[in-house]
Amino acid sequence: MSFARLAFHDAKPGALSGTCALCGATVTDGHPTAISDNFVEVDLLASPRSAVTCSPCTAALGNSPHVSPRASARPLGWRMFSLFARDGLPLEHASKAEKPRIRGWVLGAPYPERWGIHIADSGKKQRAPFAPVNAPSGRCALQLETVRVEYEPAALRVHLDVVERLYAIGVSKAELETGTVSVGRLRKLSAPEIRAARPLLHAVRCQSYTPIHALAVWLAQRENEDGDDDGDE
Amino acid sequence: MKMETTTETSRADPLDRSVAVALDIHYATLDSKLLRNRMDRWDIFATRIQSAAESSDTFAALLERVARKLEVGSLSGDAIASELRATDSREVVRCLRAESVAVVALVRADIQERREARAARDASNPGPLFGGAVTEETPDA
Repeated sequence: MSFARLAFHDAKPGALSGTCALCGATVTDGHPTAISDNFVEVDLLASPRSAVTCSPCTAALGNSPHVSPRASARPLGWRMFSLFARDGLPLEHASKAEKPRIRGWVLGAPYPERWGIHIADSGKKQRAPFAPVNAPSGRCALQLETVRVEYEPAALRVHLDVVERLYAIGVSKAELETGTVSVGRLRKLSAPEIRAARPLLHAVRCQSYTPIHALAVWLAQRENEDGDDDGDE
Repeated sequence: MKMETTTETSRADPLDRSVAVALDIHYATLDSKLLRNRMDRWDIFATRIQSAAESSDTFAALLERVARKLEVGSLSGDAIASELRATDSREVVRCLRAESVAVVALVRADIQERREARAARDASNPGPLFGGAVTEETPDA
């Protein structure tokens, strides 16, 4: 089962038959392929030459019920939202401003039914149909924009704590991502505080560039942050 | 005084020894053209030490590389001399390799601490002529 089918199982059916270009399912209720000309990751497609997409994949590429708060009031595509799909439960979605909620989804895994999470960072990439679907109470994997992250919730929680403690003392997310913290970031700390931060610096340096670290940095928030932005990005 | 204390008591802890060595390197490179008047001198200092440590397996080789990378003729100091005599100085190399940022941040904190202590001492002991700090208690002429 694809993520799109899990998330949009009640999508409006079409009338075309064939193989879905995105998920490869053989369908009789498909739609004409709605992939934009700007889509270049052709290697992700299950059937690149097919002119049909199944109704759930079509829905995943389409628009959400939300509209832009700006004057244009244009509809916002599902690509702009992080999605949390569980078998038999309604689809949950959240914008980047609702990071604490997304964090709850991620750390609450595994779930007793089939589930999948797609996290949208830029809001520009159509990656939701390709997000992994997890078996009930099995391994945990999710799609962070273009990166597939396999994680253990308990280990992620520990690493997230490390990342957030460094983030709280002023280390930027860019530095956390690369694991290279500048000396200037630590200038406000006293010697005992620097000594206390040593294991954190070491952990971040060792884990940098791993998918689980990228996820932890993405989820990290300062205590007084209300979740609408990361400030230094 | 504090330097001696650090060096004496730190035999067991490579971090303290590394901080003492980095402090010596810092004092020896105050005239380095590479670091002078640079906003990011501490970052350069840390990365050069780290890269030197990464390509050295002995303390002597580390010193040679640090001197070359920081563009100074030679490095000296009590902690450096002590490590050159020590048999376990590779621990310092390993520490500088893994934790150069923390080490340099501690050097910076140490310098700041000394500066504040000196300022406090000068404020409490104003000298009669040029050496002393002018305090608020100094009567106006």
